[in-house]
Amino acid sequence: MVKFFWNTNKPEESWVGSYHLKNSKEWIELILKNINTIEILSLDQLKNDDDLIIVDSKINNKESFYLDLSKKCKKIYLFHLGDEGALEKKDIIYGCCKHVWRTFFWNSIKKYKNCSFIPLGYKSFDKVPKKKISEKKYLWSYLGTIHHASRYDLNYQLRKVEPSFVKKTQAFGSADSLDSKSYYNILNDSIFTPIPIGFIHPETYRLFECLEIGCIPIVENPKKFFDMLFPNNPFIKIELWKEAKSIIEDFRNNTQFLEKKREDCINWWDQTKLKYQKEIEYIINNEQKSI
Amino acid sequence: MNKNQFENIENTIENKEIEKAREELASIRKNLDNDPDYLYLMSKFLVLDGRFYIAIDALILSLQNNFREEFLISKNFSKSSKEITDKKIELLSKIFEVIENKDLSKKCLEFENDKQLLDHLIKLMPGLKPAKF
Repeated sequence: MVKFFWNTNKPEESWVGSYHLKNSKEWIELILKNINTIEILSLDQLKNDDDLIIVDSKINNKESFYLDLSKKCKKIYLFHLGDEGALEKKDIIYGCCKHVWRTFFWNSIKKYKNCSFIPLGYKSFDKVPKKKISEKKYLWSYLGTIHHASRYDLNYQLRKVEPSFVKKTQAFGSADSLDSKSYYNILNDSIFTPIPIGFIHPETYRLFECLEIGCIPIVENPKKFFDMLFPNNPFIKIELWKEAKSIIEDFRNNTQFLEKKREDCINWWDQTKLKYQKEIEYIINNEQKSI
Repeated sequence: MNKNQFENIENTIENKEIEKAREELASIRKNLDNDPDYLYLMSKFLVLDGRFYIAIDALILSLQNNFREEFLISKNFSKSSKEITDKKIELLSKIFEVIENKDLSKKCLEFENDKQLLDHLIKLMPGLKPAKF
């Protein structure tokens, strides 16, 4: 049995650390489904030579913590969340770990041979039945900030495509954001979800939230990033948002096509989650080659 | 950024020598990555590379940094000349035309000065934060 410890909100509470605890725990537990773990709430519950799965973020100042931990544990498996720009100090910490899984793919991370990429995942929520195309109220929806030109253009290009639901917020996770239940209800009621790039990185939570609830993602795909990250994915991909407008208009009345596309996306996401569960199981149980 | 350096890189971009331009911009990025003229060249390169949205973001930051006197002094950057500022505005207008926002493409050329244009763009795209110093 591998011990499991959540460290994003320690040693001090931080906004990001608490966000991950509240919103990413379900995702991490899901991809660890094939591993027998026992959660510990304090490192005092760790015995010498235990194997430990630790989930962490904002690791910049945690080098001595990991050096100490590596003396205590036989093997450390780290899930490193956040680090959108891949700028956090990680050489020593990754060096302390048997394997690291991290979010946000960057070419510069390839030098860490014990590190694999995992999708950002989705915000935790109480599951509801996924609505079929014919049951949905909106053609598209957008909930989030309008930072940067891409997000502005998304809303400009689609402004006359109705019915839609748009809620612009001040900042990521700000007080004017909808609660998780209302957020997913809107997505569940939407046929398409436009997915603009994030602040720094093309990958955003929105993509996986859209897949988890069963809408069709229209993904901004700069330099074919998502074809590289997820080969053979079924997403609708665009370079400029004007393309999304014609795609939505062209297919809005083709329920058969839309239902098939929705099912393809749901199936792909189900398979992708299984793939990550198996890869993680393989690495932890065999400790051989990385993904 | 010295004039020769600027003109050389601008010529490389105008000659559509994309890999050479990438290398030339990368070689000066460390010291100049928030310099108003560098950001203009970068946006021109991004247009050539088909990355229109980031090109708009870079142009807005370039206009923004041009008004940050303390920032410019602290980094030893120079203000963009009137000629280069006009080029930035023309490029913005051209990009908005490419992405089919004809309203904004036209409007970019109608403001009395670059400060008014900048204020308008920041209202539309409020998330762009200038670099700290």
